[in-house]
Amino acid sequence: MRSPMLIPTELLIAGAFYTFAVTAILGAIGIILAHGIFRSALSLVLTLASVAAIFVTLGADFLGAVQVLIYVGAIMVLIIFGIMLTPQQVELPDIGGPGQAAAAVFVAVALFAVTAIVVTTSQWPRSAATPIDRPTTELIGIGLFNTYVLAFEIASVLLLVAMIGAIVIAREE
Amino acid sequence: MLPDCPLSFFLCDPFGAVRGAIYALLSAILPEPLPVIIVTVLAIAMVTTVIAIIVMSQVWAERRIVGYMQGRLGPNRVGPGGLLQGVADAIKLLTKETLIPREADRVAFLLAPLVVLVPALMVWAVIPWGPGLGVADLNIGVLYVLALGALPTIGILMAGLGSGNKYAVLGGMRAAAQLISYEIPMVLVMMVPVLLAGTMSLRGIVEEQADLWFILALPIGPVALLLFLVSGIAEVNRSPFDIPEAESEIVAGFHIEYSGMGFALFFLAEYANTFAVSALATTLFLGGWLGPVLPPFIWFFLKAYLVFFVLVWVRSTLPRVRYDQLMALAWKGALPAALVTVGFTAVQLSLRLVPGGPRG
Repeated sequence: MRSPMLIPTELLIAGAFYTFAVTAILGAIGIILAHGIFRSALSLVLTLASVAAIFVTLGADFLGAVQVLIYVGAIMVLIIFGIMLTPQQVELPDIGGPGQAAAAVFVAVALFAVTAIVVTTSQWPRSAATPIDRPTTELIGIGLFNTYVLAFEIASVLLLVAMIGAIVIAREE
Repeated sequence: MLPDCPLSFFLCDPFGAVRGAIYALLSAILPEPLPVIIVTVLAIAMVTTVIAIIVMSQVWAERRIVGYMQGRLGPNRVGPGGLLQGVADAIKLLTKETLIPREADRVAFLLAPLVVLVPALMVWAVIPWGPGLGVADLNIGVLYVLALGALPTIGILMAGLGSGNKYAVLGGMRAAAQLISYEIPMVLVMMVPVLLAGTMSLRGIVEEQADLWFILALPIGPVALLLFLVSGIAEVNRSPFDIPEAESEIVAGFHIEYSGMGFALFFLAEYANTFAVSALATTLFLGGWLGPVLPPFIWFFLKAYLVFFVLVWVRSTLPRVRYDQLMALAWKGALPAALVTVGFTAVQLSLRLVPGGPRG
């Protein structure tokens, strides 16, 4: 490179990171504030896709693609499919009395406070290593089938159990 | 890497030569990384333009071929042989009014065509048209294509639920079930060329086929290609798997309420996806740009249009399948067959019966 860099690559990546981070948070707010469960589901799609983009900006390309494939492509489609099969404009019944609102506020504030305290006071380990600048797919494969093969197999069996369980529950007999 | 080409480099890779010249010119006057960004934007603009042209050529070819197969003429009035029919259709669609139903969810209704179209265009970023030709070469190319292939389902569901129309909802539900079902055999069967080549980069997969196109990697090659095309047709909602639109049953399914520009975008996406399936079949199984004498990108388009012709042939020959037949074919036919194909490939590679597999 002969001439000095006008826009450093780090700045571009940081810009992309913050863009998608803000998008993810806006999507998360949208899930709560949206009118109707369908809009909430679409906001969730936005959040999950933004998280996938954040993975990519951090050098985890495999993880980003899998995030889109699994969460956006499979889980969200199933959620929206479920929404389609339920009647629209469901009036949620008032389960609790007036005390419920107060309790809900208390739980929400307490949860936020605990999370905020943990996030701000923790000593987050900062690795000096930069994100690996080479294909992650092979490394993930080697890791899954060597170091973490037991966890990988247990997760596979767990998924199989869940699938068989779902079929057993769904069968009418 | 210079291709093994009997003609001059320019004929082998004219676009690469032009791109190199533009880059050299820009980097002489502008600091990095501006030249890279400008060249990339130009490449994206070129790919998008080429796709629009391809889609018009496809619509014309499809209508003429189907017409011929059904013993009629097809469009032959606008321009020589009806070639300009696509231009006329595009002008008609773009000048039509965009109607938004009162019952519609405006945001979902207006965004849906884009959610379907943008991934269809993004797939083209990684498809290698020739050596050194293409926007990007990702080492997770196959996974990238699969992830993008999952996104249009969301768009179709947005259109289905957002239109406020019962036929649209029915089409959306059919689409969701169908696309999820056929995604699984599609993912599995795309692992066959990945296993054989030992890489997920589409460019790498083509280069690994220099000795043997994967369709000729017997006995799995032809089976895998057939499974890929079947799942591919289902994924892009083409006849005989077009039950999400099924004009004779649910009028037009998820895009029943779309007019003008919205409909044009769905239409463009459908054909961009169809040609993406042809191009992927070419890349994964038919050796991509590889071939003697002719320049590589001409070989690529020859093969891709051949696959597209087969898709048109299938469309004009087979009747639409019933919903339960479609599901039975996915779960009892395509999925077990894809599993067996992938397993067989892995066994063959482990026993070193075929060349390829992981290197190093």
